Amino acid sequence: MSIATEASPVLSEGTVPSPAVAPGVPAAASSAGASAKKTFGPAFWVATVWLTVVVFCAIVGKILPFVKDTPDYLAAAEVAEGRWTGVVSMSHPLATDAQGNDILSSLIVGSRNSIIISFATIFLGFVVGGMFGMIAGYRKGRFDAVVSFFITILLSIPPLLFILLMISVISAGGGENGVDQGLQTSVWKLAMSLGVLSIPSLFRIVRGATMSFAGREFVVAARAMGAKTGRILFREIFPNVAKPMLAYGLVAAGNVMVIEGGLSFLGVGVNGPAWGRMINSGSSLSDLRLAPHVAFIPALVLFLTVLSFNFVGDKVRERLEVKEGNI
Amino acid sequence: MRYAIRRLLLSIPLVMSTTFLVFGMLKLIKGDPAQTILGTAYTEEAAARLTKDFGLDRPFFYQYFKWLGNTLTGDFGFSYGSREPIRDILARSLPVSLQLVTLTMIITLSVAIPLGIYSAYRVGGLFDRIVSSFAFAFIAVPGFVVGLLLLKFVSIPLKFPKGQYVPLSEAGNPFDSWKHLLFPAISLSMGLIANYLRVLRTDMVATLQEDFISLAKTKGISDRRILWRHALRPSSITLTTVAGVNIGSLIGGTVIAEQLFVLPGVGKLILNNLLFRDYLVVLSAVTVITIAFVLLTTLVDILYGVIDPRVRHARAIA
Repeated sequence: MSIATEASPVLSEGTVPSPAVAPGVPAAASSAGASAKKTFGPAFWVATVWLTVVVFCAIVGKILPFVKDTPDYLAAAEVAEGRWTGVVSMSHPLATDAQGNDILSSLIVGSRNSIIISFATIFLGFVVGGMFGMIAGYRKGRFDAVVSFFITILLSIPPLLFILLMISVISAGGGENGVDQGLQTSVWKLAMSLGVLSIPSLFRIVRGATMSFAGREFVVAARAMGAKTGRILFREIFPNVAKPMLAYGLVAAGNVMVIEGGLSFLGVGVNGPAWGRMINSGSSLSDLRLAPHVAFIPALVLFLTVLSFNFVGDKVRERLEVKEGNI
Repeated sequence: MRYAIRRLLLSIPLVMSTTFLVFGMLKLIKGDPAQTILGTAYTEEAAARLTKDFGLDRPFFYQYFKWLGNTLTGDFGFSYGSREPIRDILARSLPVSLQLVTLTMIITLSVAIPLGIYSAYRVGGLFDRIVSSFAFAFIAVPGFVVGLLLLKFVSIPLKFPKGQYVPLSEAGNPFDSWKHLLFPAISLSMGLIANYLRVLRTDMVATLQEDFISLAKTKGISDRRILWRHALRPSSITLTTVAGVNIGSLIGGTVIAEQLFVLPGVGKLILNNLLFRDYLVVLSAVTVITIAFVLLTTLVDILYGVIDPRVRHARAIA
């Protein structure tokens, strides 16, 4: 048996910064199929449809007719005694939790926070990290050195510890009369802290991509024609850098969702409905024994959403890189 | 060697800036530490005296450098809440997390390396496709979900005790201590395995197409020996980087795993003390972890040269 004689798509992945540069982002994937695909394939569309549904639920939320916000105490009693499968019906397609809250409704209401947080986080990360990344990658020199040092500082604190510290700073701790409100915070504040956390890895991706374009003919040509730096960055480099940004942004959005889920699982995250909190609420040993669905249904939804983000991001990246090779 | 020294020296300003950032952030947190310390015994006078005793009324930079000096000499101060020396608290909880991280790395590497090698050996084959699909899916599974699944389907049916961790130093048989860490370690390692094996596979596929591999094959060396002795080392550069960087998120992951499996480690220590607002403990724990993390990244950087002589050579020229 010979060793790896077939050509592999793996080798063509050198243009975008190596996985080492992006700690938060899973390593560049070489998906199972060995041949470079021209079409996205059915799985891509399934993932896209799933994401569309989730985003739709996030936007529409409570307006949907089957969203119930009053607990069903009859169902609650059943669930508490371990007969949760008996509760599944037209009115509770995914049963209820031990407090009688309809799980499907909670999922829909919770999707808004999860989606807002992951999109806002990536947006902030790209606006700040992307801007500095483009300037640093284009200018190089002292500016690059200084910004990169700050980025290294941000990267030297383990991410989850960093986010815990940030939440402590912004959360309304030690409230009135010494009543501690714990480490929970509003959606936007959480998105902001997670955004700060995402700046380093997104900065590195954009910086690396910019560097690979900065020496290209069209940039040199624009400079020779007397274009200003700002113009070169936005009209020449940005359109090219935007592609890897989109692909990594999708994957990063999935990652943010995992982190957010982990935080709400710790009881630290957002102070409203969220998937991580739902998982947490069903994670005690007795719940796992009697009503495992309370934790595992939202866990499955979270998993599918993150998987879809990764999958779509991966496919988009594969697609765009094929094009890049043709320039 | 010169590179190693320069790299080590560079990590000093990094540690300084990082601790400064953490210290600054903790100072920004709202709420009066005196209130936390005194609790129900809170009076205006007592608070004023405490603030003075702890030096909390001094200027920010004075406090920072005083604290830094003390910390570097091994004096972490006392916990606001329990009045216990923080050094003792850390000495109790750090080993637990260290054990957990070690076990996780052992599990991860011993699964990821063989899987990565054999998927690269037959790229596009059935084994490769199955492993790659699973790896792709597993990257999307949060560690706490793996933990919950383990609890539900393994821990509970087998009546495996939870939250009765025995420290290594007190366990008569080392196994008594390690067995409590098995499930948390597995829950942490699933995502890492997926990540590492993909990285290793990618590099390995590239290495296997190089000339020295063809040469080895024509010399009649067995495939197994080529894979493990010739190809693995040059293919492990990215893996080393990713492993080094991932230690950071692994430390974060331990917070969740320790919470879920009730282990008295550093992650749980930090989380609890943030909730109790016992910031000096948090500060000390985060500082120790950060210094360890920075040193580790430095070590990984130096390791490149050891793994791949080509890197060493390039550095010597530069």
